[in-house]
Amino acid sequence: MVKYPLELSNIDAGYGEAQALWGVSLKVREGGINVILGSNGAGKTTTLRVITGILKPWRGDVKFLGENIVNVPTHKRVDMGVGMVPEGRRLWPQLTVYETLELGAYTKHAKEKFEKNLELVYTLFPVLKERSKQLAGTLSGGESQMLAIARTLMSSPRILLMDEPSLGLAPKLVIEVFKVIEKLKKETDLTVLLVEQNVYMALQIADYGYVLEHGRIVLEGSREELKESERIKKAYLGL
Amino acid sequence: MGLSTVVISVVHGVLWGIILGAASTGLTLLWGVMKVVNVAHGEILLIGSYLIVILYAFLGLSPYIGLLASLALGLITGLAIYWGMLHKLVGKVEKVTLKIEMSTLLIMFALSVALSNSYYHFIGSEPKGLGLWHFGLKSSIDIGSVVVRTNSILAAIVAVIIVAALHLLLTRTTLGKSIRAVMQDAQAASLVGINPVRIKMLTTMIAIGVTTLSGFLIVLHETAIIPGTALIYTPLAFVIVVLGGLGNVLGSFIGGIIIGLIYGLSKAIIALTFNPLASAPLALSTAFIVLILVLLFKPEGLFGR
Repeated sequence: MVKYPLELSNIDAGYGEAQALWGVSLKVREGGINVILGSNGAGKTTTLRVITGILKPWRGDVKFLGENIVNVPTHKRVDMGVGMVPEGRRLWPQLTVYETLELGAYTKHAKEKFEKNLELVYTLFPVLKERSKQLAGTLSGGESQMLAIARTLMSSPRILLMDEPSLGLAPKLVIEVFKVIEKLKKETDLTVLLVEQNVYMALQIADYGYVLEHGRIVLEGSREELKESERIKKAYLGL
Repeated sequence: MGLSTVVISVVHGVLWGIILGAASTGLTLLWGVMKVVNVAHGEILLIGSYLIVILYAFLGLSPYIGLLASLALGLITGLAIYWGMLHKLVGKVEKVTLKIEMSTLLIMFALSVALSNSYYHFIGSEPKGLGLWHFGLKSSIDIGSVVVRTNSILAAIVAVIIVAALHLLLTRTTLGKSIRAVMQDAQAASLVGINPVRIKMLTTMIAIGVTTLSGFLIVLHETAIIPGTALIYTPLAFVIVVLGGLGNVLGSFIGGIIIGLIYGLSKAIIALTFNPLASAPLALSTAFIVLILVLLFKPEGLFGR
């Protein structure tokens, strides 16, 4: 039986007067790589902001592990297991790599698993171990993305949200990042929700996906279904 | 004769600089971390100074007890300032805009006037101090050819302890790292489970607590204080904080020493070449010329990145 640790139902959300999401409903499948695809401005980041609590939706529910978390503040959602790799990395430039990882494990339950998680991120990203004393602001684009992912992994999340991890990276590094996501799926039982503009790459690793257009879900399906869809082929893959 | 004037001025300048540096760390935290332009800094310093004087004069309590009391009162005052004034302005915002920063300046300006008028009304404009109380056996000692008051030496020692403690807090503890993280990106901090509001509240408490605690340094170093003492320490703290780089505690400390040194040197030069009576106020002006130069040529501060 498929389990859904995270469910959005009928989410309307926006900024000020401007509505960005209309009745968005989606279910994130446990233990798999879920993707939300869509072009710039489709509402992908807004959806993640609603899930993390940075943005409060106008209407609708966010259920995490069966509990409605719509009124739970962001920092408490992290404690519950919502981990987010924000768009643009959002690192603290004047903290060292090691300090960043320490703060990643800020919550009580993450502190208990500090050693174990540190080992995991150093295995996934050996370069971070080499650079542990370096300031985060001095890392290259690829290394920064690794650190952003590692920081979130240190919080021991049940679900890993990733906002455009490939944005602004050279093609070689994009492949690297996607390899890491696949590796994570294999080596941990983490549930991933990935938001991507890079539809081609995302469809290589996705188990299930949704397509957002102008703030509405217009399509959903398994990887095969999405790959076969005329809409995807035409609008996103240029076939 | 000329050389000894220079040596005396430099020694006193550096001692004062150490005190100034420590007394400015509260401002660098509040401004650098919270984006609160605390123009009431000098008046808040005097909360601590006056508390120590009052406890000593009326209750006969030792200034060491006053020192702890001023820290305690500062932490409580910080809590009140956060929830009463700052939370609405900077508590929940993701990024403090220039407009909000200007609002913090105005609200702190209002606080400075309120405090200043209260000092005049309740304490009066006469100089207040610790009278004959002094640290150690004698009230002054000779270091080579320089006579130094033992109270100033005690103030400098406490100043170094304050700066070291604050530096260790910010670099070695989870709270300190969280404070730095919130300062650099509050949203990213909330995404690892840090409650930015709680951190901002604690930062305000620590910043105000360190400031009132530094009131101890001021009352010891300035044999007597008046409400107007704040008018020297507020602008000097701003010079030092800009020089040291916003939010940089060690930078502020070194900035303080530099300002003290510049003050001492220019005072000696003015006294020797121009007019001894004019040397103190003109030397103070020199310190502000440094502020102008730093803002023009190195606005991120001497140690800014």
